[in-house]
Amino acid sequence: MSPSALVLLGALSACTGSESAPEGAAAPIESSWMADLVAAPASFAERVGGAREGWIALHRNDWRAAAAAGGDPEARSAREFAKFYAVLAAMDAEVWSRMGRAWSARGTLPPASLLPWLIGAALADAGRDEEAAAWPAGEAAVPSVAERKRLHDRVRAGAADLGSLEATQADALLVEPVEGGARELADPWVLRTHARVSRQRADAHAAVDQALFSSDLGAPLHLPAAPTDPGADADACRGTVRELDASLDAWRTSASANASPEGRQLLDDLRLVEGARARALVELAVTALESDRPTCALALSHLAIDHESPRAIGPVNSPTLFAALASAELRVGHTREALDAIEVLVAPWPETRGLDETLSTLVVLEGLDRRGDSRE
Amino acid sequence: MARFAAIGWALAGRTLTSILSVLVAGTLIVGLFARAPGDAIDTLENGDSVRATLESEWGLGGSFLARVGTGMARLSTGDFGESLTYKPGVPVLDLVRTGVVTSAQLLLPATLLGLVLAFGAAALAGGAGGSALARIMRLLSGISALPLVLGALAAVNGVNAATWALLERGLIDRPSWFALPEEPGLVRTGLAIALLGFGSARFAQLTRRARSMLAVLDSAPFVAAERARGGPLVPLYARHLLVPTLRLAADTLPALFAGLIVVERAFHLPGAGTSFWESCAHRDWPLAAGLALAFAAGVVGLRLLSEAVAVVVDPREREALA
Amino acid sequence: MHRLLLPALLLLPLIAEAGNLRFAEDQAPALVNPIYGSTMAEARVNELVFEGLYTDDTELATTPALAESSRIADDKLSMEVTLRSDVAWHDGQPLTADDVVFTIKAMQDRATASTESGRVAWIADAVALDARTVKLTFVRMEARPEDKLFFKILPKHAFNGLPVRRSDTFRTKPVGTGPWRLALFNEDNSITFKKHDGWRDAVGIDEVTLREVADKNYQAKLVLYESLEALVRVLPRDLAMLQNNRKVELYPYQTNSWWYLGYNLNRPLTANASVRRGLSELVDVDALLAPVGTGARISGPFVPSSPYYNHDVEPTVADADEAATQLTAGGLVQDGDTWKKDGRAITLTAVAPTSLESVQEVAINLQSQLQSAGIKLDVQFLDDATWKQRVWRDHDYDLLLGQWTFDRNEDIREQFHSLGTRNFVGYKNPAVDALLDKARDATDPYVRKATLREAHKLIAADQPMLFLWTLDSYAAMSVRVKNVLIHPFYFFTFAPKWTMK
Repeated sequence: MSPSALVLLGALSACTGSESAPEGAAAPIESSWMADLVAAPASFAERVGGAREGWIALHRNDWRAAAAAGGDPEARSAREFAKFYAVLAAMDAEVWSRMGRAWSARGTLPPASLLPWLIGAALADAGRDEEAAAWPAGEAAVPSVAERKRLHDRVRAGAADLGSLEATQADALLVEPVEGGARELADPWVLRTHARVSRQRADAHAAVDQALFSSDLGAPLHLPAAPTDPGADADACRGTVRELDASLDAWRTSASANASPEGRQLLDDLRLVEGARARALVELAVTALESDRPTCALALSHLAIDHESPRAIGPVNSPTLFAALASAELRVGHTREALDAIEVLVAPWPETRGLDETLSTLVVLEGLDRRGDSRE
Repeated sequence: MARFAAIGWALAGRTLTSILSVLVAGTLIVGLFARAPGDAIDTLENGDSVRATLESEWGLGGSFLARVGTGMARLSTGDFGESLTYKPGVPVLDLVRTGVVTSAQLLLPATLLGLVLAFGAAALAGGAGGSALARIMRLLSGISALPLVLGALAAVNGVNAATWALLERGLIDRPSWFALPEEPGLVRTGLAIALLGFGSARFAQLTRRARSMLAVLDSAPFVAAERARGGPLVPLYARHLLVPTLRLAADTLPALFAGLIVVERAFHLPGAGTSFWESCAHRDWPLAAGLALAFAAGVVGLRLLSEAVAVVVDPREREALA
Repeated sequence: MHRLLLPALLLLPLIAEAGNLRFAEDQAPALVNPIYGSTMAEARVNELVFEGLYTDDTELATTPALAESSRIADDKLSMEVTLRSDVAWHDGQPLTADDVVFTIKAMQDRATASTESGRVAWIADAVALDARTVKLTFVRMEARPEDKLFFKILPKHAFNGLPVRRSDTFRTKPVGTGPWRLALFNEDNSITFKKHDGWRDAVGIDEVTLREVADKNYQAKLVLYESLEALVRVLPRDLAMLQNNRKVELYPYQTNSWWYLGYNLNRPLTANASVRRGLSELVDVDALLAPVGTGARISGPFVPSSPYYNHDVEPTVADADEAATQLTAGGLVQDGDTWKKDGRAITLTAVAPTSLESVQEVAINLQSQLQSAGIKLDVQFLDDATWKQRVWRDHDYDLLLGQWTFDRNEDIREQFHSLGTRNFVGYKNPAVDALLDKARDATDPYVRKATLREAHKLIAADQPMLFLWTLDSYAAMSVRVKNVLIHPFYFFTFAPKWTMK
């Protein structure tokens, strides 16, 4: 083969890099729990048994109600909690890190404040030791803060119940009076405590029925190979979703045509396809975050959202979706958009209030010197 | 000779009156803009930050009378200036010229269509009362513009939706006129002409006047005589309908101009109508005044033409004028 | 011939991806000149054609664009900016420091009447030190002047000196340094932009076309019909239709905008706080929002996700009994089904801008609600110029329906400070003034946050406006457009990286 032909072949294959077929495309949906349910809708009652209310709660992503119902719904919801808090805990550390860096760069970190210590504490707690080393360490200078840290340690060790945190987890950890106002500093440990406890609970439970209302679409869905140009990652992941959607659309059309009226009703009323799709994309988004592919995670999260009710938690929009979305927005530098996503979680999940406040401080910090404009 | 002089003076008088009425139209527009809430500067984002500079430059300062006076003084010397906000910097005369030429492509066919349909409907409606066609024409002559506008818009949307359905199924190739074509196409233009001619020309009134004109002719002794002789009636009708038809067209023109604005906007066609609408929305008074003067000149021009033709072909008109 | 084959084949994927991106605007810009353009349509077009010294990077942090580097003086009263050496204007001329100086002077020249002059009011002087270096001297100390150097630069050689005029031929034949140049300004108000081959980075899309589509309802259909590739803003009612279409993707973005029902505090009736509260409690805001689209209720002058939003303040809830109590306290009397003042039935005039999408629905529903509660409401829809006259200057209304959009910094001072230039409802509260002044000067983000949250609380209590909602904003893009990243304010900032099949 001539040198020029080799160059041509190499160039052509390189040119197709961002358009390469994603791995693990379109699952064989016919073998999924969805297909089973639609084909035999009468099996639903048998499947849910006495925990029907719990399963329905799980379906609409109301994990607390699912947990209260016990049995498999409780076990499944424990897993959901664990995933959810893991994403939030990682995000929380990132917010503290960014705030520390941004404020240091300005050179105006408040001198007589516990804030630098809290930044270090958050980073150390998240295992980001190299970063933490740049911040003050040791016991907290303020007794109430030190006491709170000890409470977290006890809860994590199982020596105290998570409920002992609940009364104060939405409040500021410390309020520092400053000239012109007050500085309300958030608790840097709360989400990691929740993450650890929920992980322990998830490991302690093993649900029998892992499939019903899961992200399982018959075969695992994988992230596409990361393209050489990171800027093309979002498009590669969108390509995966398009292939998935094509398969789902085709399956839904044939399932609807062949199903009994009860099967069709299950499919439509419970929005089985939309829910399963969203769960699959959220899992993939979380994987993308863990693989340091935030633009991919962002694209997947945006594509998972039910835009007809984009601020509501429901059968399609899970709390983990908003957590993943917020985390992805933060990681691509869109702090204001990350606040948008976190906002949905604050009311139902008061333990996220601290993260929300720290993130909002970061947003204000980033825009302190910018001119504001408005128009009608 | 004296008669010719008298006719000449009479026509000159009519011409002067026409010029004055055009100027009155211009004054009206300038006055309306001076009185209207908001001005051109208000259509600029942050316009108030530059009001002091632009008010004097754009002739927007001073009292109502001062603004009208300044505006008319400029217009009557032929200084139409430039568009302020709609097409900043473009000479108004250029915009008027372009707009009129573009819109003439709708107006002329629409006028002809309206007249032809009106006379056709009048002729058929006046025919054997029981015929289905006559009943349809009587019905059509009663239709007003509004259902036509709505119907036309629905037709455009319906055609687009149907075409898209066929495209999706791969049954047809994408037509050049489909959904937001690059150029105004025959379909859109044809629909606009039909709407303008049929709706804006106030079809019902046109038909009634056409029927009345035909009825007068039908009962004229010279027509009866020609009919009795077995001679050709069409040239006779044509000769006697020429002047009334010109007058009818002149009377219809104002409604057509109004319809032009609506139709050009609805079908997103460029032209004088769109420009006039936009000049009002943008408070661009020089452009609005220029277009208004052009419209007024069109109406009075057609009237003058009809009178001139009447004087030439009809001795009774010459006598009346003299 | 065979020598051309290899390069041609290598270029094939690029050619295949070149494309023409067509997008819609409600109204095409009247001119293309960034020192005059300030509508959002004009801002988007300017983003295609022009560049500033600095811009946003993909993380929305300030990054150099035409500037290569800068150095701020120790006293923070001046800076030197060095320009890139690899920038050419669309006509081939090189970018120089004189262009920067010219732009600043043009914007500051009163005779130019630039509507964007506020963007350079902080610059006392600009001098070209050499062909590539500009020295800017500030009016006062500036901590981060780069954040204010986003305004677009004009070519000095394309003008006949100062002042610049709106009517200069530049307006339809602009010369910029941006990734696209304006190729054609068409009669039907469409504008064609072609890729600037001399741009320093690759530009993924050959041609961009702006189409004027005045009917917002039709814009979404055109995207579905593949007659457009991009829609800057999707109407809430079209979201479901577009979401279910596999050829279109939705991109949410943050606009920081909210709707309100403003009260004219210059009128005796609505100057009364009890009357305002009573009127607010007559309105079922959720019912007004439902037909408009998805969004979130608000209780104050920020969107709920704003760092300044005070979540302890609840949005107003319709409560007929409480409304009656408030209206009575305000001196109104209920006579049967009608509320009266001094023996006369209350008739209020509400104005709304025609340019605000869905406002007619909201206004009619509002009218119906108040009518049922015994208060007659006359609604008038005003065009932009009439709105400016009646609302901004004459204050000739009782109520007004409107929307404010803020950039990321959400500075509400102009709307709610007693000296604010956009405070046309006539709101005055010295305590709020003090808070807004303090927030503006705060250097601690915690303090700014707390201060503005307190301002939210006070403003909500005073009710100069019934704060209604914020709507979700989406752009829609054809799936043929790849590598899409949308700037939340300017839309096209990252468009050079987009590609198309």
